[in-house]
Amino acid sequence: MDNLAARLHRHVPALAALLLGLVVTGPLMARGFVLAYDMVFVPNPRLSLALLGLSRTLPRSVPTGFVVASASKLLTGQVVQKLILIGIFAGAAYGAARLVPARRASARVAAGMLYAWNPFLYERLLFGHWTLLLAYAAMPWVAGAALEYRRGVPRAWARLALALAAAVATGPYGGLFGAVVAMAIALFPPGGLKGRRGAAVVAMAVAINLPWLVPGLLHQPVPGRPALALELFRARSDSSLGLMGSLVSLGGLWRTDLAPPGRHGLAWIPAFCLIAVVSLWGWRELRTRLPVGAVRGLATLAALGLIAAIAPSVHLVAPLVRWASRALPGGAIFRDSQKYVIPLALLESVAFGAGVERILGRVRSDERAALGAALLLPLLPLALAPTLAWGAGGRLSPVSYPPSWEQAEAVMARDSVPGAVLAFPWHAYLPFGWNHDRTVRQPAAQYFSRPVVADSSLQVGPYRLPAEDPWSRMSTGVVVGRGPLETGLARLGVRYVLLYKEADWRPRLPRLAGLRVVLETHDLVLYQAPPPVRVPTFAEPPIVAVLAADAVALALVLGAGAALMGARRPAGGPVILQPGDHHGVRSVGE
Amino acid sequence: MTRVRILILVVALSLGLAVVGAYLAVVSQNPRAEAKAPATVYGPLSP
Repeated sequence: MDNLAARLHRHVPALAALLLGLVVTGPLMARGFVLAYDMVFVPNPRLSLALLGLSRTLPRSVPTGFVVASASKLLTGQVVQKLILIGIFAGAAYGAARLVPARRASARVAAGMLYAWNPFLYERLLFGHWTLLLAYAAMPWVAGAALEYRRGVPRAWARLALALAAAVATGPYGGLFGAVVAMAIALFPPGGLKGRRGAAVVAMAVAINLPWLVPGLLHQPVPGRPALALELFRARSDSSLGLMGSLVSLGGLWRTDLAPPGRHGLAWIPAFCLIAVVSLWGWRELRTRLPVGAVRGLATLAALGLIAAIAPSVHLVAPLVRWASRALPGGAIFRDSQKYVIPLALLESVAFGAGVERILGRVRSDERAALGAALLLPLLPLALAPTLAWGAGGRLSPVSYPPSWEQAEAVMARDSVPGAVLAFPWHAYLPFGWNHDRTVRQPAAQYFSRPVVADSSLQVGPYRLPAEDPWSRMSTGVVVGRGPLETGLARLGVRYVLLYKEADWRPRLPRLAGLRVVLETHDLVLYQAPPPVRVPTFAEPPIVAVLAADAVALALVLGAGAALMGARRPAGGPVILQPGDHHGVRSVGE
Repeated sequence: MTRVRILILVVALSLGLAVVGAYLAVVSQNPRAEAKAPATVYGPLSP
């Protein structure tokens, strides 16, 4: 019986993480797709080499799109999305819990709660940034693997390679964050890895990122307005604590209207102050239980991330960031600066868990109140975003695509004439009625098997950023012009026009005169145009270079997997250090 | 009252206050306001 109780106790952090995931995503597990802003999933996404970066568009979701499309073939897009949604919350919570050098389950659960239940997750979930959230969830796993590698745990290189691969699978930002987190934890002095082992961390981080780095570097430059994008998407204060307070409390997204309800009030601030105090208390504990260099590395990264998040809003520094975003290759990473609080979120969460461990260590275990403290302290992070529960308080819910979409696909699939489908009205994001008027990026590109030409420029208030898709750029002149569309479609390589009866669709009707209606339902009209003169082609990264990059990363992943096959982890759960034990390895059960 | 009981009380009060604050915010404003943003707009700019 004692053995069973001990085993149950050991699994408390994992069970708590799963429960947390269910509490947040419970209603989203119902039949249908959750579609919000950038969160677009379809029943049967097209699987093509374009998803590996061999495409006319920037490799923003490489290799994520390929992974999701492949998994959808096996499980269906609906199941994949649900696994991703629950995986974000449960994976983040359990990953952070494992990272805390604590014996008490309560301390670990506390860290997991703070990491997986805060304004960052609330805001990004509503904004549909599921790839960034997956990257967020992967970070504690990368950090844990880097810590093991730093300590010289056998085969830790393989776990680190797989953790980095998991981060890269979430997209370029996941790859970047994973690389810097791994390097900060493994290499930072004192006692950081040097020589071959240090170089191996850098080499693994680079190799595993090649699948998006190579197509990104070899892609044709796209027009942009980096200074405007930087200004539009810089972090903003969403609370009464100002910009710095908003970021430190893990909010501050530029879309302040997506902040948790009550965030502008004062009611959550006492709880946040308590979390801050407990985290500061835990900071001392962390430095004694983890390698000092690793803790300093994570703290330095968190500080740099906070600086990067706030920099575009600081008058003295903003010009420098604007210059960097214009002049440096890949400078666009500086926009949407709030995401750089991710390392800070990890540090705060682990420190909070260590703080709870320290508090509970001072309470006599025979005291009845000790149980109350152990149960209540981990719940404190709920105060940062109480309405995250149950699909963000009902702000998200699954919907089904109307049957008309499948009918449109069937009509177009029967046609052997090549050519794209042009999506109308000409907006990148639309609030579809069947999606409860929630705005979502046009799902047509993923849904239909024909190439889709849609507006790809972001319109924010009165501002518009240039379209990144060259086919979309080429079509804009014709689409937003006057007169019938029919004459211009043939040279754009367009065979169909799909008109959603959404938003400002009615004024567009006269422009579609002359095209043959092949399908009309209550929510869309599908028009067929004469066969295109030619279907345009666009520059793509060289296939050999892209596939070679994929092969290098895949070889590393397979090698790491093979190295772990048959290898047994040390029994007793995560490896933690005891006070004063800075370099040794010790395995302690819960 | 022991220190741990005081701690429990403080944590419970803070948590309760935050939950009540969030509830009042939800009932006093339309949380779906962002969904009613103009159709063509990716997102409203905050002041």
